[in-house]
Amino acid sequence: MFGDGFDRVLAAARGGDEAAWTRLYLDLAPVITGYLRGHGCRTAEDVTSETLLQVVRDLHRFDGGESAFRSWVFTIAHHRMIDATRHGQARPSDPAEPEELEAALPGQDFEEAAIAELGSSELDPLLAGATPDQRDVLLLRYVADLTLHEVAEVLDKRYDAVKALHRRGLDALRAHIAADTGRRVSPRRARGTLTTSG
Amino acid sequence: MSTPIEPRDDEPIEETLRPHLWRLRARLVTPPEEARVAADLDRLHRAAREHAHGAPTGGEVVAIPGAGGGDQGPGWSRFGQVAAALLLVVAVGGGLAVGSNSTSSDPLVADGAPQPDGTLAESGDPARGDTSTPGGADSAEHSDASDADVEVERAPQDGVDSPDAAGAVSGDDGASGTDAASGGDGTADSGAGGPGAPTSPAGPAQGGSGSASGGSESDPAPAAPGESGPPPANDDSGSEDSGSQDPPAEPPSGEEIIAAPDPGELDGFGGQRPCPDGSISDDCLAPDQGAGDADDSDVGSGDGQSDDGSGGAVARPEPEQPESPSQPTTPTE
Repeated sequence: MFGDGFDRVLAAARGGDEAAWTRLYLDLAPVITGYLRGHGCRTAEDVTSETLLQVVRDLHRFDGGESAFRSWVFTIAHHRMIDATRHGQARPSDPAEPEELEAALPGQDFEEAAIAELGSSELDPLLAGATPDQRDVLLLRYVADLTLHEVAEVLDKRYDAVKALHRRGLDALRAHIAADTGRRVSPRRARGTLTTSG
Repeated sequence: MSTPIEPRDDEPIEETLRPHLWRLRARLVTPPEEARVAADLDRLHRAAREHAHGAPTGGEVVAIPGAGGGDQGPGWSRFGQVAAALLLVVAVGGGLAVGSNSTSSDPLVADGAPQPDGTLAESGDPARGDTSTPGGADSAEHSDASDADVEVERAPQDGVDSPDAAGAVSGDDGASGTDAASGGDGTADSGAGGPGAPTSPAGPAQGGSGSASGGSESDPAPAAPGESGPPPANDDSGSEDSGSQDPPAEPPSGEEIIAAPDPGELDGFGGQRPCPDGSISDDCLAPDQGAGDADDSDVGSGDGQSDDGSGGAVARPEPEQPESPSQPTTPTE
């Protein structure tokens, strides 16, 4: 977040200033990548680079403050992620046989190695119980630090719909946490209070 | 219910859920690798230089080096130089082509025939002017797009070189020269009209259309010499070139016309005057009729030489006819 200095940084970026673009990159790239990882995007870094390059190309069309700028950037990232997902589905990878993996990784459990290699590209367990729409809202709200109004703009949804998705997404998180810790959180009674069952 | 750090539109989050969200964020948002950062920043900076100030235009491309993008500047400037050179070559080549076409395609104008209609006169100014003076055609055409100033200076010389250059025709050259200059300015701004006009068959028409306002006034000039057309156009056009071109073309020169009539013999009688013996007869009118012929030739010569003074002097006696004593218009005997 740049705060009051955002306008100067943006003006310098419009003029092609490298330092300004470096600051914008260091501020935005990790968050964009995290948002993409939260969706399980396997090429999160590449999509982040493409997103920022599109920001460079289309910056002359943007007009607004920092919050609007972040919403605009994540709108681009969201669309880029959808494109990358479609592109990946159009060209499915050729999976290797388990025997081949065992031969390549002697002495290791190839399944554990594959999971470890995937790392954050896999869907985070905390978000596994949420629907894609709920994940969109939760990631944009708690990873990208956007307000629900800004989330509604990014996702091109109505504010009421986004608010409902947010509430249901939190309920899904509570259910996952309760299941993971052995405690059950009642969605009805969890509004502000944490209850244990059993 | 809600903490101060949360927006008002947020769903309230209990304390047990908030640490999970923070840990989720910490897992997902990690700093990129250094190699990745270096590669991304390199691409980003290059793209930022290319797209500085939005879509790059000609002026912005020039301004990019000053903004720190020195790498792009020389390349763009070299591109501009090459483009300018190509435009110049196309303009010169197209001018030659149109010049040759115009000299061979429009003989009517070369003969001094009147223009068939106003549209042709407006659209084909440069071509007509060039066809009327083959010697001066090429120079005028060359200068349409590239160097209008040089062409304006050349116009009188071309008229001198052309043997059949009558006053009016040379005047048309001068007019076409000015037309070409104005048309050249208009086409040079666009960058495409200048070179495109000469190369395409419709090129002269385009160039003429750009200078239609200036050329239309002098369009009657080529038609004037053959028919002793309207003096104003000839006076305007011929005033520039009269001294150098008219003497070989026009049989009666302006000086001869001035010397032919004796002002003292013309007083008050117009075309008829008394004989020396006091009577009025046709024989005595013969010299005046000669002067009348000179009047006609004056009109023609005035066309070419812009001898306003001479033509006007010859024409003045006609309004003075009412002042003459009431001479019988019919011969007495």
